[in-house]
Amino acid sequence: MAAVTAMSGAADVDLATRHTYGDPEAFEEVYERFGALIYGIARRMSGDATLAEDLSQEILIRVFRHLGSFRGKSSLKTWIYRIAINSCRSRLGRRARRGRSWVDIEDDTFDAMPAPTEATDARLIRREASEVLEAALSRLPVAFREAVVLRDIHDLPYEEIAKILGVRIGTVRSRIARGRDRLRLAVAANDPEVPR
Amino acid sequence: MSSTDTLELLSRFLDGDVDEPERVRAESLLQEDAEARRLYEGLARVRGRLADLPEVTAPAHLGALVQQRLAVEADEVTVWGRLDRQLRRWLLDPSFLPAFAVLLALAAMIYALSFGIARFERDSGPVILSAPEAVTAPEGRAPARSRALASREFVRRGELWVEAGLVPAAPDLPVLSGAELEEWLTGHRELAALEPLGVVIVEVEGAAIGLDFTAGEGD
Repeated sequence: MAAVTAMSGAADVDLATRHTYGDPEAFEEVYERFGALIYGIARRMSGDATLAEDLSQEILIRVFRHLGSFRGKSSLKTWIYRIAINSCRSRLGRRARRGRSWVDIEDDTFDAMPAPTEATDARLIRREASEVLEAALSRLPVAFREAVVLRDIHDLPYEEIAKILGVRIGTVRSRIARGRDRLRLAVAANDPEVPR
Repeated sequence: MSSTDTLELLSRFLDGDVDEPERVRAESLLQEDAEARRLYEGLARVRGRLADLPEVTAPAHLGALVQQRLAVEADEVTVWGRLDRQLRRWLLDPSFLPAFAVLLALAAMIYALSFGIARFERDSGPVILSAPEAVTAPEGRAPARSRALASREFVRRGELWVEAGLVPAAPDLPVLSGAELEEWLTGHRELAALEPLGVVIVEVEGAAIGLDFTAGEGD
């Protein structure tokens, strides 16, 4: 396993070196491998398709500019996650400062959402539940949201999340737990299957 | 065990991120405490729903958009780089020396012209009077007259000839405030136009200054 990691680490550094020497295929390869991941992070963090597209471009351009400085201290994937999270944090922070602040999850936003009627079929209920959950996620405080997104959607281990976020593992555990709990409360208001 | 501790323990238990004593504690908590069971079920359901969220797909044109933006940036870099290289080539090429000389001469001319314009503009502005250095006239002598007194340059240089001590010797002279004189000088720049003023006493910043605007032999 360690040998495989070392090999992929060497391949990542090689990719960065090729990019530094002007090989256009190097960045194309990066895009092929991580483009969807970057968009996924941007989409879940922003909760908005248009903003996610713009954010993804910004992240990819930052990756392009800084790829030459990648030294292989972490995996390229972790390095890209870090750039993506930092870009999201910075952009979402700016939006929040401009007045589009993140509403606390326990406020009236969720109470105002209509509960599904009996006439709706199972698929519709599932879709509505997803929408409620996505809305709740997009309103979580950014620190909780990034921890929950990385753990529960991107399925990353706690140690890697700590590296990406630049915080201690204890902080990651606490943020994940509190983020999930806030989501639980928000979703429970509209979904009888989720206990309060 | 506080509710925060319980929450964190159950959240970690859900992920399998617990050591043996923590696992035992979590399991007994779930067996004995209905509230903890409800919390755990809620957390598990949220985690499951998050994992089941429909996968988002990047727009097909995302890569093209990024390439486009990078190409625009590269073009900008290339234009500046090309210009920079061209300038360096010119600077190092001796055959461009005459062209540089012409350019330098042109630059000097433009500078001289702009300097002249600036000076003209400055000179056209209102006259600012300041208290001149006092010059002690010989006792009992009337102040000397000077045509140059009417020129603004002369006033500027502070070469006025009167000091406070001489004022009582000419008590009948008209007295103007500095502002009044300034206004007068602004409207009458020629010596002939100033002559009707004759000799006046001007109070500038608390000092009395005599000005002689009558035509006469200069010093």
